[in-house]
Amino acid sequence: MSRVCIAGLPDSGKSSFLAALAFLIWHGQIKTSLTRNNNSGVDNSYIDKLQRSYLSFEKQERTKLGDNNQIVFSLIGDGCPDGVEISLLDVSGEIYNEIWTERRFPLDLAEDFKHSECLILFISVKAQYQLAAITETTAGLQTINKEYVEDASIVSDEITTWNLGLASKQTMLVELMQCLVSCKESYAFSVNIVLSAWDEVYDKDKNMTPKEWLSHNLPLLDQFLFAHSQHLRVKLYGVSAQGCDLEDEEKVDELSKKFTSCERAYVCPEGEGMHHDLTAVISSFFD
Amino acid sequence: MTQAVVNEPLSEEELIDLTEGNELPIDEVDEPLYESEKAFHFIWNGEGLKKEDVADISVSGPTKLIAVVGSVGSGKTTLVASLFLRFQQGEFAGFSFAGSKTLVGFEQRCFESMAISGRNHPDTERTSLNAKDNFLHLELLSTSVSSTVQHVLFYDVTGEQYDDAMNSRSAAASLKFIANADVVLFLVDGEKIVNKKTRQLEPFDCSRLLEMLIETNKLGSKSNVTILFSKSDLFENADLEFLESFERQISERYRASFKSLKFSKIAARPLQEGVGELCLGLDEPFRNWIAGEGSKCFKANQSSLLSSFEKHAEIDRFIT
Repeated sequence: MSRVCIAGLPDSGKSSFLAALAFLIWHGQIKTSLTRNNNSGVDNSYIDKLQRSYLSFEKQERTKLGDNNQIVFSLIGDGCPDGVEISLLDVSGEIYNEIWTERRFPLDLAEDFKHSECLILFISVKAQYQLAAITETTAGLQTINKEYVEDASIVSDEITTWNLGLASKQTMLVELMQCLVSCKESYAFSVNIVLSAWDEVYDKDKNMTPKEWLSHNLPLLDQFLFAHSQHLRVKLYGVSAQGCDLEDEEKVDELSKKFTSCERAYVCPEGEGMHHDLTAVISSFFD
Repeated sequence: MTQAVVNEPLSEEELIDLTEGNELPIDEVDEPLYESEKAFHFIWNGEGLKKEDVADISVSGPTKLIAVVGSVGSGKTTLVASLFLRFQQGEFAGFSFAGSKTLVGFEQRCFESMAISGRNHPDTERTSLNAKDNFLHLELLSTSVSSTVQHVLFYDVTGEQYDDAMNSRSAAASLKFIANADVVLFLVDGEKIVNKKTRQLEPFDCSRLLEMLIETNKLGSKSNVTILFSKSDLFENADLEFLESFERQISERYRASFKSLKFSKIAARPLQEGVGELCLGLDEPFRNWIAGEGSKCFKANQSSLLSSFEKHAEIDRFIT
C-alpha cells in the first residue's frame, strides 16, 4: 500500500479536499487520471459523512483532536497500471499546531509519515500568514490583528505578552515542514502543496499562479522549499474543493444547479490550466 | 525512531538521551491507554541553541559564528530579530532562508515590534540574564553560488555583560566565545550619538571595551571586527560628521590590532513610520560576514563516528 501523508494547520481544507476527492473517485462523473480499481463498496462512515456535508454545501466540521480517520482508496491509472492502494490519515489540524506550541508530534503519526512516500501539505489562501509590524500600520492596527488571532480574547487593547500562539503562521508552517523532514530517514521525498480555497484567488485573478501566490504570501516557506529542492520534489496546486465561498449564497445556488457535481471542485496546477481532476494531486506522485 | 511513554514531561537529560538515539528498553515501553499517555516524538525547543546543540549544527556544514557585542540598548537583539524579519519578506543580500532550529527564539524577539503586541512603538525584549540558550541559528542558501548552504550562529548575550567587561578584566575574560567568533559585530548605539549629552561617551566606551577585549586576548590579529553604528535613520549631518571623526579615531588606534576592521551605519528596524524597509545598510556587511572566509566545519560527515564526549570536546574548542 502506498501511504500518502496529509498535513496542514487547522482549517487548511484537508477534510474538504478529501470529501471532494472521494466523491470524484466514487462517482466517476468525469475523466480522471486515477480511477477506482474495483467496484467494491466502501464501508467507511467517515468518508460517507464527509461526502454528505460536501454535497449539502455545508462547511466541513473541524476534525477533532484525537480523531484518526483513515481513508483507503484503491486506484488505478497510467502511472500505476497495476493499481495502487492509497492510505490517507485525516487528523485534526491541531496536531500540526502542537508541533509549534507543544514542540511534539504524536509518535504514531511520525511513524506513519516516516514510512509514507509523499506528503500533501494543505495551506488555506484565506488565512493571514504574516504579522503586521507596528511601523507598517496606523490606528486601525488593533482591529486588523484581532482578526488575525482566531480567539479575539487573546488580544486586548492593552499590551499583550508573548506566547507561542501569537507567532506568525508562516513561521509555524516552516517549523511543521522542518519537523516532518526530520521524521524521514531518507531525506528525498515528494511534497505536493495544495493551496486550498483557491476560488478566493482565482475569482479575482485567473492569471495568478500558485507559485506567485506562495512567493508573495509565504516567502519564508517559499525560500525553504527552494533551498531544499534537491531533496524535496515540490509541486504546487491551487485547489478549490468547495468551488466557492460557502457563505456566498448566490454562488452556492449556481453550483447546486450543476448536474455534474464533480465539476464543482477544480484544480490549478502550477504551469497548467484549470481542470476538475482532483486526483491529479495524487497521481503526480506516480508519474 | 524512539518511543517514549509520556506521563510527565521528560527531564532535560532524558530528552538529550532520546534525541541521541538511545532507545528505552522494551520492557519499559507500555501500550498507551489514555490520551495523556500517548507517545510523542519531541522536537527541538526552538528557543535557542545550547553549546551541545551547536555541535550537531556545525558538523552538518560550514558554520559561521557571529558574536554580537554592545552595551544595553545598542540594538544587538534588534539586529538579529530584524534579519529574521527581513528573510520573512524574501531573499536578502544574496541569500535565501533554508531553515532554522531557533524559530521560536526569533519570533519571541520580533514580537514586541509587531502590532499584535498592542504596542504603539516597536521594541525588543531584553535578553534575559538567565538565558542559557544563547545561540540563534539561521541556515542560508547562497543565491549566487549554487548548493552552498551556510549555517550562521549568532551569539546573543545581555548588554550588561559587556558593560561589566568595560571595567573588569575578569568580566572581559569570561567572554570566551568572542575569541573564536568568525565575525565580531560591535554595536554603537546611534540613539546615544544623536543625544548631545551622551554622544561623547560612546567613543570612550567603545575604546574601553575594545581595549579590555584585546588585553584579555578575546580580540586580536585573527579577529574580523565590524563596528556598526545602529539606528542610523536618526542621524543628521552633524551626527555624520561626528561619526567620521569617531571612525577615524578608532581606525587609527585599532586597525593594526585586528585582521580586519570595518564600519557601517545601519538601521535594522527604522523607527519612523513609513520608512518601512528593514535592515537598512545591512546588505553589503551581511554579505561580507557570511560569504567571507573562515567558516568552521569540523569533522563534517563524521558526526556519527564521534562519541558524545568527542563531540562536546570539539564544541568546547570551537566556542570557548
